[in-house]
Amino acid sequence: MSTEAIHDEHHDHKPSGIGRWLFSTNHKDIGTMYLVFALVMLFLGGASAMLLRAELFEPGLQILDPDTYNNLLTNHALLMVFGVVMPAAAGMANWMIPMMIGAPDMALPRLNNLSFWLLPFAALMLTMSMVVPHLPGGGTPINTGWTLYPPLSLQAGMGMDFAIFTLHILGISSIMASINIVTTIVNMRAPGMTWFKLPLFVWAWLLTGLLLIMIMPVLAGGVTMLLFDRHFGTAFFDAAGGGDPVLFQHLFWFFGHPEVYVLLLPSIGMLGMVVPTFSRKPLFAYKPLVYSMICLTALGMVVWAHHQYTVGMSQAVTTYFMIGTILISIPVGYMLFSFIFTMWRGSMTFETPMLFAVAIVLMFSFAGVTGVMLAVVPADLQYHDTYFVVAHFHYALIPGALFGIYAGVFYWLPKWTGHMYDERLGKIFFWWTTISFNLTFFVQHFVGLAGMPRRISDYSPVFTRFNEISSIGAFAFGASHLLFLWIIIKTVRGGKKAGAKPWEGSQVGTPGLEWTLPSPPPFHSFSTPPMVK
Amino acid sequence: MKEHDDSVRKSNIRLALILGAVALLLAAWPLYMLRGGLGS
Repeated sequence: MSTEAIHDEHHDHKPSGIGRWLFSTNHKDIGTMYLVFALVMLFLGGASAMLLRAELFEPGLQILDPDTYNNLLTNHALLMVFGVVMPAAAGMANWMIPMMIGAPDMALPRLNNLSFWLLPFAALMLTMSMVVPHLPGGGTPINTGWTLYPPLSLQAGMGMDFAIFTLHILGISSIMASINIVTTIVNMRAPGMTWFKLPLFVWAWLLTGLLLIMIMPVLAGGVTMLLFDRHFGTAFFDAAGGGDPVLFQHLFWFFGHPEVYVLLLPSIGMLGMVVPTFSRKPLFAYKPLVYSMICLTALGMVVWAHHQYTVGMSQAVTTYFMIGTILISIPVGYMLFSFIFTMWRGSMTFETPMLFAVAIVLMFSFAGVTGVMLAVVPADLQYHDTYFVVAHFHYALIPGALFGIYAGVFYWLPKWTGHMYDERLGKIFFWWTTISFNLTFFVQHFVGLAGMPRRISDYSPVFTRFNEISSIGAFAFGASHLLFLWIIIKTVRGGKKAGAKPWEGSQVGTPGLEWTLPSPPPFHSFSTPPMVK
Repeated sequence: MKEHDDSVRKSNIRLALILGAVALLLAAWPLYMLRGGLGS
């Protein structure tokens, strides 16, 4: 693909001071704010996980009472899903999509500013949800986990109201950001940037945006009904008033399962950029890969109740959800094989982003295998609510979402900052996280199969040794992120200069137009649309 | 160029409004579903 990239560097003046960030309508600045926000939340969510693992280091109650444990557990999940993975992926979308498609900015820049600035308020509300139970009259802490199931959520104290408002604000922010991203991709592509010339990351975000627009409002509707049940005398989910608690589970998982794909798809898109670059080969079967992503999105919308096999649905219904869920392994398997075939006989090198990409393919496949086990109804009835499920979804989401973000950060850091990161430190970070992650979660499969229930702060002494291993792994995994922070600070502050194309293979296959811009790119890029030939 | 910019801007706003309307309808869907007795 050749381009006539035109950008006006003579008009590259930036606003200065705090106003540059508060009132920013620049996609790169807003992208940076999203990424910084996600990094801060990563440390908060990580700190809560460290506390949970410290409590679980040995049986009995050590440092947390059961209510505080469950509250921390809930906040860990909400922070990681809504505070880390989604904002980080949105930050990358903001930074990269306009540059990849040759647009001057996002389609609706003011809406973009608002989408971001709602997030700190949501974070404040979430913090309040943890604080208010400790105030006089605050009631029971949120002890439901991120699913907020009634009747427990109807009985929780004021913290639950704050959590519900947090979800409202986050939902509004996500929907506005998604509308913006979809509109940008549909309307703002440079002349000649046809659908099948789009980088895979852009396709991934188009589908993620559409998914979010469809699922987030349903969650918002569901939690609003929960709020009405709590304060305005309705009984939508209260069995005592003729309501149905299971209906809330359907509403939650109608959002919650596609949400998993919201977290995964941007990472799959990043793999579509990283693997061809470091294999120096075009993406294998690009078009079918796009179709399989569309297929994954569609199937992901209609299999939600596999999270609820134990609630007493009819055999016909559970069979439908079982078959639908197992079918998902076809497009996912296709994607993973596409990445493997892209590597096959490629001229591969293993810089940090590629190391993460290979790890994702291996470890996410493992999550896929345990996922198929969990999809099978009679088997799931045994695994349900055990640490096997915890191990499964952490194998899906840490490699599938978080490692994808790390791959993206290392891949694009030279473009964003104009400096190469320290490759030696990057590789140390990769091995440190990968080994400690496996140490943390691999053993949880076994304690789960042996029957250790999840979401409980105490456990039988027979599970002690594996829990000790898991906690040691978790502390090492947490500590590795201090190195991640140091690598980023070091790269922002200086280092070897990065060229416009910092990676030798970055123009292979279906790259975006970002490589036609210098590193770092000018404040305003593509003021005149480039021509894609 | 300006005419082109205006038409893109109008098109952006139109598409954003359509997507926003879809989101609003979906937010009301749980209540509608309950009214119809589904799932209960």
